[in-house]
Amino acid sequence: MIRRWLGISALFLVPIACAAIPEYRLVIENNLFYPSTMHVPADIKFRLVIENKDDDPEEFDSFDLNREKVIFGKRSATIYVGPLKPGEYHYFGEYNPNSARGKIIAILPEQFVAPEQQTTSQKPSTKPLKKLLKVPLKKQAKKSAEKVAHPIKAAAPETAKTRETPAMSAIIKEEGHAY
Amino acid sequence: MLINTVVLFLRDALPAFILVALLLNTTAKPLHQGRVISIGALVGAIASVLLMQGVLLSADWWSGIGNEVLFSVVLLVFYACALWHFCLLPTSKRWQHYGAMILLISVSVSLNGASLYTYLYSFWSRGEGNVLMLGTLLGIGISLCVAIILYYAAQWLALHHSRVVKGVLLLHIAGQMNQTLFYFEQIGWVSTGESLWNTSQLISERSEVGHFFTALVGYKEAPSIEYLGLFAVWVVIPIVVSTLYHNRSRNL
Repeated sequence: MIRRWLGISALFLVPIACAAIPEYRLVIENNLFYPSTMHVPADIKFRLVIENKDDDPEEFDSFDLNREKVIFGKRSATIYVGPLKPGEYHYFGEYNPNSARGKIIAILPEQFVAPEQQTTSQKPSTKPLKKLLKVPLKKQAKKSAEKVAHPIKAAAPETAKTRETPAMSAIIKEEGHAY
Repeated sequence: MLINTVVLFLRDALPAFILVALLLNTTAKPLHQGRVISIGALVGAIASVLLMQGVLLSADWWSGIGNEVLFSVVLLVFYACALWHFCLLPTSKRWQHYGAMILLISVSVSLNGASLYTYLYSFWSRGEGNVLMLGTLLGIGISLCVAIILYYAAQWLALHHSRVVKGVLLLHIAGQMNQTLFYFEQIGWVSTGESLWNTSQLISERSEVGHFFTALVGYKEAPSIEYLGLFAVWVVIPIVVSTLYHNRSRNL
């Protein structure tokens, strides 16, 4: 009886535990990853949903992240990544390694929230942040989709909305879809 | 495209070639090697097509974690076959030796060939068959060369220290089985801690030697304690089971 209750409660607890993990989206289109550079907070486990908009399959592969998954055409796949140490983590499409390339930049969570505050008043205090803010987000939005850097977008729509800056909205408008 | 095909082939097919080279030197009974390899490869090729269909079906199961679960289950089947192989004695029936070896080879081929099949199939349908064919032939050629060298090295070793070859086979199987940890980590079921050391300066996983050692014994340049612990478990279980089984057989 106890086992049964434990099993039933586990069924409910697992989705709750999953929901608490932030989610990021990556899109494969024309054998390219969008965004090609993604910023995520360090020291936090997150879910990476990869959507393949192409007809052909692609294999997401990363030596740095130790992840590898085949994503069939017009399908999505989910992988869990992290917690990552601050730094750059490169990934590529195994089937099109010359074109399908990208990187995830993990930044300390406190620094990660900072970019939005930076746009209003404060000055950047750390090196990675300075590097990140070298090109303002609005300018980046005008560049090609490959070069656009996306800030965090959490799984819960409310959270994503609260974190969405005007610059992010510009990016989303420009590209026609939200990541 | 050509280089990519060769690289993919080496990554996916080399473990199966290594397994065959080691298996042929660890049988307790002399078998018809050509028959074992051809049946195992044929069954494995058919199974890899079926497995890929299963992967295509299971991709969306349980919020997109079905593939990893499916591959883990197939890996457990592979491990069960390996346990059977290690428990066999020279006095065991011939069909048992054949069965264990063919099953091991076919499960290994299907596991490693499934993603290769996806790649080949998708690009073949795009009309890039010639390049793929050439890449596949080159991949088979290189893998075959490695397997032949390994086969003769293992044969020479088996003459002097037969247990060493069995030990290498055990390490190879443990290395393959440790992919379950990778799958579970990928779907968020387990989290591994900090790596204990980093030998990327010595042998990088991305180098040719690194690829070979990864295929041979599941080499990791920066293993975690969980990785090593699980590796030890995969190694110890066949030793304990085969020792118990052999002792019981002797007493009967």
